[in-house]
Amino acid sequence: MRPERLLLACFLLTGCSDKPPTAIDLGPGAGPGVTPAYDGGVAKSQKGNLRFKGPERLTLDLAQALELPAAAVCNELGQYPCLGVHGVSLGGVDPYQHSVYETAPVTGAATPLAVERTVLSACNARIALDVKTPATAVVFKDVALTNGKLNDAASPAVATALTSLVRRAWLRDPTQEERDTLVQLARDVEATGTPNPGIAWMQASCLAVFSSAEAVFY
Amino acid sequence: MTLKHTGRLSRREMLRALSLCAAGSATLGPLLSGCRESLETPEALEKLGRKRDALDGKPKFLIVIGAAGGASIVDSFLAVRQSESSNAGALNTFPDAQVQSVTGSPFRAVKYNNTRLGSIPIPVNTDQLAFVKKHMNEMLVATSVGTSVNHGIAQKRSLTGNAAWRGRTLQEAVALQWGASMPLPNVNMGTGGYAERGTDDSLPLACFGETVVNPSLWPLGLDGSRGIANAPSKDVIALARSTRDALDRKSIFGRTFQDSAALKRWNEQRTVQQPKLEGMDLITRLNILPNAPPQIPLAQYGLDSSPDGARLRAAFPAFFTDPVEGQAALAFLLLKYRVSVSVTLGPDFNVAVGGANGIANPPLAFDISHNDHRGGQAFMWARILGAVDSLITLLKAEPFDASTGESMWDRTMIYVATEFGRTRPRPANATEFGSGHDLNNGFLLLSPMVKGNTVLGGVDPNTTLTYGFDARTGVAQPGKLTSNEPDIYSGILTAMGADLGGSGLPDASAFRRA
Repeated sequence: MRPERLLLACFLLTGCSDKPPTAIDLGPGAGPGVTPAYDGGVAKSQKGNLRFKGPERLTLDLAQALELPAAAVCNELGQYPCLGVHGVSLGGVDPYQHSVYETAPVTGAATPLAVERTVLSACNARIALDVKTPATAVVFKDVALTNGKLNDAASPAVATALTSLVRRAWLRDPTQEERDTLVQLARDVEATGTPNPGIAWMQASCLAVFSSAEAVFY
Repeated sequence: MTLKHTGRLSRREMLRALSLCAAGSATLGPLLSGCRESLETPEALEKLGRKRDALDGKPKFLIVIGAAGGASIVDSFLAVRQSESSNAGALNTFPDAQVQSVTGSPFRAVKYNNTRLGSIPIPVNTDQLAFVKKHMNEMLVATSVGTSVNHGIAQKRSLTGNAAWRGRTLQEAVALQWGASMPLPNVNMGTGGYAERGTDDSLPLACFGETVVNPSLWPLGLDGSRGIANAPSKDVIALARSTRDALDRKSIFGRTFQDSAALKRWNEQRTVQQPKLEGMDLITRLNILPNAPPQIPLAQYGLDSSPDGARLRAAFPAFFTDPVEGQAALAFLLLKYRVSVSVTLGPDFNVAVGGANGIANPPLAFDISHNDHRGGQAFMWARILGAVDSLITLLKAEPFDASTGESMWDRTMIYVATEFGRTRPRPANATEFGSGHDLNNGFLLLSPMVKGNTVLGGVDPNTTLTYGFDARTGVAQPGKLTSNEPDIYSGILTAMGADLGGSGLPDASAFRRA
């Protein structure tokens, strides 16, 4: 071996980390040599390039999914649109009033709370309409309540409502496990002793689904 | 040696060389590989500013007031009298009677009266004397020369010292130093470059500013469900959250993107920061609003005003319509309730209606000086000093530590940041004239921690330009007109007693109270 090649090889060797290489998912048909990392049968995204929806997209998605006018989605104290109050917390801009010209590069500490307030307000508006006028209910159709309680959490009507809720938020059907989790939520809510547990479950399930990561990131 | 004869190594020589390389790799490896891990030793982190000294374990607070548009120091504490200048008629000097002195103080105070503010028909009657008399012992003015006359760039540089410490802003440095236990260590209500984050990406995310644009309504967003009509109980909300988190963990989406930085941050914000914010009842404590239906129906929505609401509304009566008053009130509460160690506020370039004469904030803030320099400066300085005075009064009345008798004010620094000064020439003896942007200026600091009643540097009355100073000794250096942004940056942190180990900042001991 020529000395310069040996020295070059040594330098390169000394520069190598002693950690094993990170597994890279090369996709189907990839050759051997690198072990893809799987988690329960799901290939982890190596880029993970998620985007937060931001105030306008979040509001309009909620309005469309829950069939509400955009102006009815969320208003603080019943009159101050959340889009204005929490717009910047939700990653938006406010160029005219406050000279915020650029969106935040990351979600802020108050963002999850602003998301929950916006979602819960929209859910409440939808549930109030569904319960008040069952004939025109959109999400919680035919979900029977007696004295504020769900008649039967395992009824087909509840399953249909949950499927509708999930489709509207995630644009897919729920898995059986997801549906079971949301049905179990009804029993858990009732166990708290809260008044009107049926309504509370509707609120809780709507909040859980529409504030999930799958609903607020894309 | 075989190498000399054949140009190749023998087997024995090759083995020897390899063993030497192997031995050397242990020490050379990290250097040659450039691995980031090798830089994350405690010592290296200390150089980055991450490791803090023990100090006394108590927070100190920074209030940055972004005096947008160019707050001119020669229209306030370093004003020049006509009789002092050989070029009085051609430069921005004042009639002698308008520049007042205070016995025993290097500061001056401008008194100004006019029936209009540029083309705006509102009277401007201001006098800085009361402020100087009241606060001079905790005031320090440091002369400055900046490096940009672009508003946005100069605003940011006034906070980073032109990237004096890896590009981190003063607020981020303070958040790193004292804000570890705070839920929102750095809240920023400023405008433009005053609201920008720094460029030191090695800082923890919590150090970067949380942007707030509506100080009166923003606290409503500090709880996920309170104040929402017909919201379920907290027990039910907790169940909804735990169900959601379980769904997220198990969903294909959650598992696919489990390594996403955005999702990791989101999960931490939901599980660590969110309970902190809700647990402190900030939706109440930071709520300046009174219950005033129908415009503000707090009680109807199950909300209360802050226990400090009444006195803050008295101190800042225009809190709901004047952004600066609303910001100052929220700033006080953020510090008092240990939500933040750094708060940033200040006027923006928009008109705010209100105040005694119908205009709370003129268009362009200090930059209205393009149209009416002297009136604009007088109006805006009065606006800034009014907010500062109210804040100091509140902070002095607020106990910090009963065992030491310290007040909040004893541990607070107020930095009146600004972009630049203004050009000095004026049409001969004109009292109403416009000005441009000029690098030459000075900054106002207020704190019990600064060397009070002090001007670092000085002003040449014949040019009305400020000259520099030695940041270590404080000795004035007439004729020095070079940029000193890092000195100002370092001086603020030095006066606060921040650990500057490894920062590479200049010694700015002259700012600190002995």
